[in-house]
Amino acid sequence: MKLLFAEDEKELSRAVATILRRSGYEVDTAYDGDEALRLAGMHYYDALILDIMMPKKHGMEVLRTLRQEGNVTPVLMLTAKSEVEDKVAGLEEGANDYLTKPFAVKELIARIKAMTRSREEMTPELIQVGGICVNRREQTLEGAGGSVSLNHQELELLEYFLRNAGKAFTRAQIKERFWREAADDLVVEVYVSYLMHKLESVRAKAAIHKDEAGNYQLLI
Amino acid sequence: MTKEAFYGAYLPELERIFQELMDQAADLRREQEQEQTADRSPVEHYKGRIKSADSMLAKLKRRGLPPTMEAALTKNHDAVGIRIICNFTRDVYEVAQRFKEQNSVAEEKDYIQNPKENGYRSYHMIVRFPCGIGGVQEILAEVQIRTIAMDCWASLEHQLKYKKHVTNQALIGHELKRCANELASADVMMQTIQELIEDEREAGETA
Repeated sequence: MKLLFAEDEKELSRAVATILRRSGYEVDTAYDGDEALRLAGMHYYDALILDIMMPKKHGMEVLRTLRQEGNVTPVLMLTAKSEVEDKVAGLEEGANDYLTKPFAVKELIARIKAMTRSREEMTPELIQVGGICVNRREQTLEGAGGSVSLNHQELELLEYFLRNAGKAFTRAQIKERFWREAADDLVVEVYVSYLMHKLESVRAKAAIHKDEAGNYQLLI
Repeated sequence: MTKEAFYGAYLPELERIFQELMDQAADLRREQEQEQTADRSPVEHYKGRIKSADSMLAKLKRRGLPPTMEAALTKNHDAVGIRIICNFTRDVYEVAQRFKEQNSVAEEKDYIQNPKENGYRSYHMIVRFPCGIGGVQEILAEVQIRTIAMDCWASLEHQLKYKKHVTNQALIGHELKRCANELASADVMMQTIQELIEDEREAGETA
């Protein structure tokens, strides 16, 4: 994992960067806001650690610019201040986390890990149950009768059903969870139908049923 | 070699069988056009052919069979072939059912329920026709029924089969499989949408 560490206090920067590198991170350092922005624009980083008090451009300005440019890299802000207003301002500006100085590098590392923990790490790539295999990376549904593609929405919905096998959901519940902005709940009927038929097409053991009340349930 | 030269006395028989199958497909298409819900013809289009001598000889060679007309007609089953293209998967099965009712079926292979490893999907039927000329008792013909999406994919895959770029083969095969998955997905989704529309229409009519 590659980090950008922007901190104007050179001794602190050197010390922290050394420990980070020993922990297995690749670290680029910047000593002012302009340099931080320049590097962030040139390289891909998994996370950015920005000190608020930096010469040329302070951390908040750097953060604001990055977010305005559409950079969604996780950012952790460092500051000597511990005022609630500063924390709130930083987080609202788009920072993912905040650490006040002095800090233990151990805590910094733990927060970096938490910040960069991707959704993919938390959910397995393959879900195998009910005579089917759902491959999240390839976005496919495979069964005894071949494989078929799933779009992102179908993938999320199917996973939800599989994790909650046996539970019955109302259309309203599913709409609330996945299509909050939709004008009406017909889209739920359409997508559940897609899944019903795709499961059938690959001859899955798992199937989605609709009862008289219009509730949906996946049974394995 | 011309067809006349290769198939000899059996060519008129093959032409008769070919015409019979093409007529059956035409009837299906015409029949649906006349129905009330006429915008729903299960047969989108159909085509057929009597296999050329060159193609047949090449196929016999590939299969390790003797390059004779007898082998072509008795050991092979696609001297006469017809392909019917449908809009939806459900239509494929409907057409298959109709053909079964009207012909003597020797074998059926459902590659839609059981797609091939490479992603190929279609419904194959081998139909038998009595012959009685010379030593040949019956002639087999192949009927392939598939959706537009399956047909599109099969044409592309056909191109790959006959051009061996050793380096790209694996990658292209993998990507073709991905296409097959996406086309199958589209087929299922379109069928679903079509059924939803039909349900709404029926509900509207009975209301």
